[in-house]
Amino acid sequence: MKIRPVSLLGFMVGMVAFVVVLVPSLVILIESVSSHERIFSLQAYETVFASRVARQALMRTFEIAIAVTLISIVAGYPLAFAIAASKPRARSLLLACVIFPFLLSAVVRAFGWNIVIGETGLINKVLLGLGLIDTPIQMLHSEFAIILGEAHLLIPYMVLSLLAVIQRIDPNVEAAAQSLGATPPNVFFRVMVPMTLPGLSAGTLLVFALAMTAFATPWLLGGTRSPVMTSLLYRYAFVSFDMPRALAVAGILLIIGIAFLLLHRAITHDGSVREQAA
Amino acid sequence: MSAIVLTGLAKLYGRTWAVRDMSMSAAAGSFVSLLGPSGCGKTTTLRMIGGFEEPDRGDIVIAGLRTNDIPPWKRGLGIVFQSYALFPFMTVFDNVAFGLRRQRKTEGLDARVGAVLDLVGLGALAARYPRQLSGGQQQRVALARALAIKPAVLLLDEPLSNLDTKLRAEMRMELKRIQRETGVTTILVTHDQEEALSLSDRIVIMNEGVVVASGTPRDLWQQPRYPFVAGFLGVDNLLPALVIDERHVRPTSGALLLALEPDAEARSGAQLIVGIRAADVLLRPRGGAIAGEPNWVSGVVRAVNYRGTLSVYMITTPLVDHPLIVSETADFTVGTELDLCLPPPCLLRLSADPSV
Repeated sequence: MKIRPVSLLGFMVGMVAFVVVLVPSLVILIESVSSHERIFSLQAYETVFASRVARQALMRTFEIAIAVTLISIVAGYPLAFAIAASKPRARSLLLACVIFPFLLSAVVRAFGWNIVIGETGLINKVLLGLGLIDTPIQMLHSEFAIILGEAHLLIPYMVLSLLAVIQRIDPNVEAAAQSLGATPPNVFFRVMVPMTLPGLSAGTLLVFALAMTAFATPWLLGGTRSPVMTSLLYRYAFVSFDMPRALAVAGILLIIGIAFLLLHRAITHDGSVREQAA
Repeated sequence: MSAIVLTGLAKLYGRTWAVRDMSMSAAAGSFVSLLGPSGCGKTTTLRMIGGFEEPDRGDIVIAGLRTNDIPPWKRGLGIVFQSYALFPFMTVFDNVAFGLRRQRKTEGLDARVGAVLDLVGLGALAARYPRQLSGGQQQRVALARALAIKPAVLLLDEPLSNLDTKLRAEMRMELKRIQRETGVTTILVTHDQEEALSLSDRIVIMNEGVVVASGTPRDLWQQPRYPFVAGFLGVDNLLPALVIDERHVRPTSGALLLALEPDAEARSGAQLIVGIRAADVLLRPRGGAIAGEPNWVSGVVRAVNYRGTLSVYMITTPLVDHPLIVSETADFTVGTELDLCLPPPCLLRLSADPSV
């Protein structure tokens, strides 16, 4: 039997994906459930969940990821629609603004937020100067700071995911809905949201996963008082050298990621939703 | 009473007038076509009627009410687009019910939707999704969706352009039947003269943002009056000429006289353009000219374009310096010498005014 070059290429790509993505994930999962005494043990997970700090970190990580995802949806829709509706020149300018943050490292952006929301930062200076407050507001080193920083980082992913779908929608669909008596909010919620569901689903998956696994931004803006799962992982792995717990934290993040990927697949492979993408 | 009246409508895009001066009206229950080449302003006019473009000048009056400032969702108009613009995530039933639900007319919804679907011949497909339908069926859904709300005016934006020739002819008949049965005032935008002629009670011909002619299909076909209108309604040969007397003109690039039906208003020395359709020219083998009949000239076939039921010939004559376009069922080869006749009743007197 002759091997076609295309299937050979596909096989090679599959092998690379297997080695680069699947193997490390599997190694982490397998290592996290094995111990010296037994082949299968959830002891590491038990110790992690027994720790109040770790439980709080997990809750905080979820809270932050959900908040960031919601913010990116609320901010992403108007932005994506505005970009889709604008004339070519304005569109490329707006797109450049959306893509620009990708060119800066998370460290640079975190430093930027330091300047804006720090104790002697821009906002506090203005508020103090106006006499609206007597002592600086503590904004840095809080969940608020992490959410702000991550939202700034991740909104572009939501915008680009939505834009990819919005640009394929026939503009006459909106006109047709309006002629049938749909007010603008009606058009948005009853027509545009269902039609952009594949983009919303993809964007939500991306933003949520990236918010769950962000490291630099929570590290730099959250400080030590608000650890998230990744900072906990760093502490276990590189500060206290507690490998079993580090592996358990990594395993938890991995399982959450896989769960969301499966959820996304379930949504977008549902016939009625896939139709809109076609 | 007129269901819709447009007066002096104009729309500026940047620095060009998409529509410069558009006035027309449609009697209640009538079928009016806006016919013109692409870029003539017909679609912009339709979009202004629908409320999707704001006119820079002029008024839109629907059922006696000035609607310029009424948003599209309160105008109660039905629109069918060339692209169908169906809601892909809804079933056929939900697509058609969409307008009724927005207007909170949910009483008897099932019956109303069923009746409209039956009207367009899709009663059995209510549970399907648009992607499961053919192009023609999707077009019927779009039509049913627009008709369900009993629109004050039905607007059709090139609705048949995406269909293949056979289906287009079928949908044309269907469209006419449905319009007759519902009695809905309809405005059709099209660039297809055949579509406009076969469907309309009145045709409004537009060019460069203004109305150049309007009338019944028969009147416009028989008396196009202007070269642009004639050209758009299948008058293939346009010959600039000088008036000699009431009955005769001389094409400016030839030496022969042409006899026309007498016109008492024709002034000697005035310029005009004489038009004749390809199918109206008679072709006979050399020697076939009928003695005593006017407008027989000799000609030579320069090119043939075989079209099945007939052939289109390019024929040089001493009449004009460019070849005449003639269609005939008989076969002639290139180089054949012929006699041809331009029967006086088929010659159209057209204005030589270059502004129209």
